[in-house]
Amino acid sequence: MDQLILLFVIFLSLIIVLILTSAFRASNKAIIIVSFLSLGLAVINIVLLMQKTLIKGEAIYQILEFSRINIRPGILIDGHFSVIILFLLIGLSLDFFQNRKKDNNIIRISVVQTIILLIISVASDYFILISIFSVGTLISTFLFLKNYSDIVSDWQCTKDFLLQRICDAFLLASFALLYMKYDTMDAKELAEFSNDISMFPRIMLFSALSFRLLTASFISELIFTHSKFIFFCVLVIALRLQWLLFQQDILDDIFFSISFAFSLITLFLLLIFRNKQRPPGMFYYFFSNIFFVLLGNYKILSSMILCGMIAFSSLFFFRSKKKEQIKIFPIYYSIQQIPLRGIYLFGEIFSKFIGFFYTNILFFRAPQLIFGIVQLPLRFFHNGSISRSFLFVVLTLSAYVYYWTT
Amino acid sequence: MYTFDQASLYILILIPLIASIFISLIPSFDIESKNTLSCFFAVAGFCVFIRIFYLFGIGSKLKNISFSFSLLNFKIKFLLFLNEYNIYFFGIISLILLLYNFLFEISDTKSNIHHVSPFLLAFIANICFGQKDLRIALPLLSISTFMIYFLIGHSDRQRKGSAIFHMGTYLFGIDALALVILQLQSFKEYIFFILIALGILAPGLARLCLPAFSPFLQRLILNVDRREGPFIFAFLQLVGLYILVLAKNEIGKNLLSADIPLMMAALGMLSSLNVALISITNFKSEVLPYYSLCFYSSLIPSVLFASSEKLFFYLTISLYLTNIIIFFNTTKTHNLIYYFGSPYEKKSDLRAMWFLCLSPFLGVPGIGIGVSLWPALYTMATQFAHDAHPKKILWIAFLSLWFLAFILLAVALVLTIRAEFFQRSNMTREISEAFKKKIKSFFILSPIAAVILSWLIPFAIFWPHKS
Repeated sequence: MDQLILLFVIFLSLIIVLILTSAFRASNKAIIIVSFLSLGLAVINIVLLMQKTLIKGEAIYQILEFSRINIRPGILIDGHFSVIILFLLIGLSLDFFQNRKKDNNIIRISVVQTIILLIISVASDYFILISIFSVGTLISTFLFLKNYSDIVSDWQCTKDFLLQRICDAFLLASFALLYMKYDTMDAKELAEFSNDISMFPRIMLFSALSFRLLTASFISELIFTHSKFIFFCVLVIALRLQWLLFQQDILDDIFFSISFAFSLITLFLLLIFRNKQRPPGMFYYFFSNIFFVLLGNYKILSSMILCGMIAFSSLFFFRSKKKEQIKIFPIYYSIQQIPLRGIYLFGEIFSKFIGFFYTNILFFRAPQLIFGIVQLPLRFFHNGSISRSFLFVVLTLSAYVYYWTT
Repeated sequence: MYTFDQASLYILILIPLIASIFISLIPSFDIESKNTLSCFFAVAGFCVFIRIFYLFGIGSKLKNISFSFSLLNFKIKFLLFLNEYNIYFFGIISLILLLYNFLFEISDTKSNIHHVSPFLLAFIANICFGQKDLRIALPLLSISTFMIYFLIGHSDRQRKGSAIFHMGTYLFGIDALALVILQLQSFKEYIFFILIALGILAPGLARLCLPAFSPFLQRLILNVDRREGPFIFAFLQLVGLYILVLAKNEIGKNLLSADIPLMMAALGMLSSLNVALISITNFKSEVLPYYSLCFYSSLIPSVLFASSEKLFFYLTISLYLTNIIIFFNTTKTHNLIYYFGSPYEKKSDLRAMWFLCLSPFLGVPGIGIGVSLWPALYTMATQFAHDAHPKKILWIAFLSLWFLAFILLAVALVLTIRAEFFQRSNMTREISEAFKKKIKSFFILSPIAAVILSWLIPFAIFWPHKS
């Protein structure tokens, strides 16, 4: 039960910081000192908790049953949890340190998000976990709409929120597949069935998580705390799902392909929007890829690191060029237009529903790029463009690594 | 001599009638007294219901009401039953009265009808909720819609006449058809059985699944008064739900052998898609709460008919009640913005508040409607989408189409935040600072209250069931 007390103390100290930052200006010295003290207390507590759960291995699992529907609020504290919370608290302290003189709102938002994450990471039931996750996105959207409408437009905020709703729906549907079969969504109980669970739900879950990360990395660059929040949430969910995702050897290749596809999509998106600055989202996406690797799949490691390299270097590379020089497929542009007409028509219809930004990706840029890829080998031979040669080299290398590892 | 507990059911039934008599005795220009009195009776009714619910929950037996009187040769027997199903309906109507009287203040000085008719409608509904037979309840409920036509007729909307005409002819026709079908002997052929079942269910569906079944939906939504619309819709849907519950008993055991659950799901899905498509093309903040209400209530029949288990009934009630409470909250907030303009100087604040107010309707799991929606959907899915079920594919198809409609509605709801509504509120009035503060506190507190209520409702509904 010591673990629960430690957890409660962390929670309490975060609440104190929240109250202090919402009631007073954070530039006040006394407030800074008290907030730092309580944050320090939280860090000490989490280290103690880490010692208990990670080193001694005393995990806690308690469950509450109160209704006929199989949704059970339960608490699960294990080693992973304490590591995540430690990182979160360090991140929060950095936020506090950076923004203490400028902006109270950002501190408040990140404290709220940390509290939500703290609750998420102890919930054992997936339904409750995702519920709190969604409530968290809702609250942070509200806070951004209220405090940052000068910097971030309403349009941007609501657009991001809508995209998240679609991702959440996808994630919920993939959990529904599990629930239909096993009548439970509890992490521990599902672990018992993990050998029977078929391939389809696993793949669904993995791609849902990847999709979530991808969208989080392209959330508007000004709301960087938001993408951090989503990144950590997905991390928690994936940790809980670890035994479910990476247990059968057959799945390795499929997951590898999915991750590779998502990385390529990221790369293309980066190329499309190269003129905009999106380092925070990219940063988190890169780290999340590494995180998936750490969960146990080494084959993904090679692809991830390669794709990360491509993404970062091409980002760096293309940004230094002028706009005219970096048009990738200028000659075939007019020929490409012909089959794309129909797609553009759909794009115009869809732009009413999901906004111009995402329609642009879906119906205008992505088809263009796909057509472009077909022409890619041809283009490499007779052009001295260094960026294209670089791309070619990296792609062949990664293809070789893939061939070699399989 | 009765004790209070024994007489409590009588009191619950008769309080709306007494309230309507007292309110109609007050002169029509004395609005303050009428409001106070209606609030008092609404609170009294709800308190009595809570006592009854407590007694019911701990298992003490309440007396059914029965009394008869004869006039010359004309003998009338009056019987009301209380069982584990209709107790929730008594509760919901008293809760609706309570919320309506506190949230929507009516200031019509011409006649008493706007104050009296909610109570009168509640009284008629109470009488019907005590019946076990659809043949008795349906005519009464059908006649009670006349009062709704009066209500619409006394508002100052331009096309109220056509709304009344459409709705009146349609509902009356459907009710009459159902009453005729109920007199028929049941056919043994499968197709006739299905047709008859649909005929019996139609009055309920016409009130509950508004879009797919009622051509009058849009006209009705546009032509009800902003302050009375919530009650009219809540009442219509409650009545529809009760008709469905009675009809489910009427159809009985053949229910699961027939394809009625599947048909209900199909109709609900069609209805939801219809609403979602209407709302995505026409996302005015004025009508969106109505659309969202209809959207979620069109799922109700499919949940109710999914199985003959009691669990599904409780899920239905929970879904309906949560839906209504959030709907009241949203319409009230919209009314405040419409009548008093924005209480906020910064536009971003108002938009954030409107987002907060809509958020319970977004179907986010674990908050607002999502609390009841997702368990209901999951339970339904486990019932039908398992491997052994013969119609598994169809069910999954319906559920996924519903999912699509759900996302479309969420898009429409969020798009209203960007709508121009907030800039062109013409009816802005000069309001004092104190009143502004009051409105602001309402804006923050009411979504929180709605969220807390949505968490409490499932507990309250499952409480007597557990003990």
